[in-house]
Amino acid sequence: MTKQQRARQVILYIVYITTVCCVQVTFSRSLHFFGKTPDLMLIFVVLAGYLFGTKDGIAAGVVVGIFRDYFSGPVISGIDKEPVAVLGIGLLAFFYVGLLSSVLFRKKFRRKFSLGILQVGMISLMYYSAGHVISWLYLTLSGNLTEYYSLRYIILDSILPQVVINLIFAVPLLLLLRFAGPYKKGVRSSLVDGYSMEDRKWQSI
Amino acid sequence: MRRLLENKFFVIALVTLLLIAFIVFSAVPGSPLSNLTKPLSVIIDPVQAVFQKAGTKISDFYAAIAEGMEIRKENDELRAEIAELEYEVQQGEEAKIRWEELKSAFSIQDSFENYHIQGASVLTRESDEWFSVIRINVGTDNGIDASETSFAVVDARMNLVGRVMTTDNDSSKVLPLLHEGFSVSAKVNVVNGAVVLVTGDISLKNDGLCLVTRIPSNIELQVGDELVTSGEGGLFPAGIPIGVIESFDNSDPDNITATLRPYASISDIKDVFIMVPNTEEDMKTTDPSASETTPAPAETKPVDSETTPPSDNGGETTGGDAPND
Repeated sequence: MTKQQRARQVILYIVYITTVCCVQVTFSRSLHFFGKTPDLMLIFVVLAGYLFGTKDGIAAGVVVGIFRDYFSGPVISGIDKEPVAVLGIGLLAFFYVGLLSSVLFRKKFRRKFSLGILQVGMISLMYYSAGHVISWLYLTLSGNLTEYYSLRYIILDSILPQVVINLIFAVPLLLLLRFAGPYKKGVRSSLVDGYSMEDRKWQSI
Repeated sequence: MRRLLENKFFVIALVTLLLIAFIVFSAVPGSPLSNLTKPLSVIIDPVQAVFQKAGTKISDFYAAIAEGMEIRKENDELRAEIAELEYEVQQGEEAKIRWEELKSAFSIQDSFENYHIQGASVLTRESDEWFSVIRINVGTDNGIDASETSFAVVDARMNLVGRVMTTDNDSSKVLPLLHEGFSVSAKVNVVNGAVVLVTGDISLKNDGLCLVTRIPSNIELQVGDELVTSGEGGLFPAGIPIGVIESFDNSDPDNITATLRPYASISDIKDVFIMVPNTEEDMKTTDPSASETTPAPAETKPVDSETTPPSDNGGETTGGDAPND
């Protein structure tokens, strides 16, 4: 990779990440569909990991995670029951999102572009399911839980609409990453994770 | 060691442990890690502000085209309203003079006179169900520093919105009323009204409701009862309207609960106001007459000395902890 290509890649990643993060938190009301806002940050990290491999996925995940913590980092009850704003939860969560999206279903999907949407659906499903489980566990263990959402609500009103809206918004982001970079023709030529040759074959389809 | 670092699983486990340690350490009150967002805010806030301005300009442009006729009609109506309001202002000014006279006569103290208001705009909203605090565009550069104490946040109608959690240079994080980590001591807005606890609840927040607990067993709340801040705990001054009771459940005498619909519509809110306790210097600068009026006439001196403790309490309430219990 030449210096120019590297610079283009870094600049495009900065532009994408800044845009995706700022748009999601600034225009969340305008992007509201079915009672849910598309999680552009999550979609972007999943696609970066899925299309361009582990390094890109983790790097994008870490930066997006920092943005997420900065903009709307979660608040938990501290030892003295006072609410405390914590840092790092977004970072940890998105580190794993980037990692898992580059590793999971790699053999089945072979980084085929169209299946990137499916990968977004799968990882979204995992992310929101894990979020509910961890949230329930935390509230139960900390003794702050009076009543949690019903299973019906979690599946039909929380996870399902969120996954559907993420799938819809994954299409333009996938096209953007395919046709505008950060890599030429949407293919990372230096991808060496055991499936690089076949990956490239599939990616060109 | 080198072999270990070449093992991907070991590296991932190490990174995870380090991040968990980081999270735990950031949750410790007064942790220096909370200052890490300040350098970030120098870069991110201006960039985010550009997006917000661009969005506002685009929506204004489309609104101007789509609502041109409506705006003209509304403009005519507003002109008529202004004329009416000007008349009312005149009357209001007269009433104000009367009020000031009565106030000094009866030593009535304004509920919020020990606070000044700092306006702010909402910069960013929640990212998902768990990342659900909002960010506003005032910070330590505007004199708001939540490192030692927090501040009440209200909307344009003085209804409670939440509290300031952390501050950076140009922005702050606000914990909204509906968040499950939020709690405030409240009272029913009648003379000697019952004191209860209003908290955010995870199962109610999507319906825009809060949970009311610690309701005395001899009290039966009615749907429509208004709750205001009680002033207990010290963070929120007494008398800020919170909302109205939506339902009441006393089926379990050991756990009487109610739901409350807040007045402030947090999902639609664009501008908020932070209630900042006045320092002694603020009081001197904002009310130069105070220094003149303090030395009361000889015969009123005993009255003044009696009224001093409430103002002292007012001072104390500004620095206390939130009633999260």
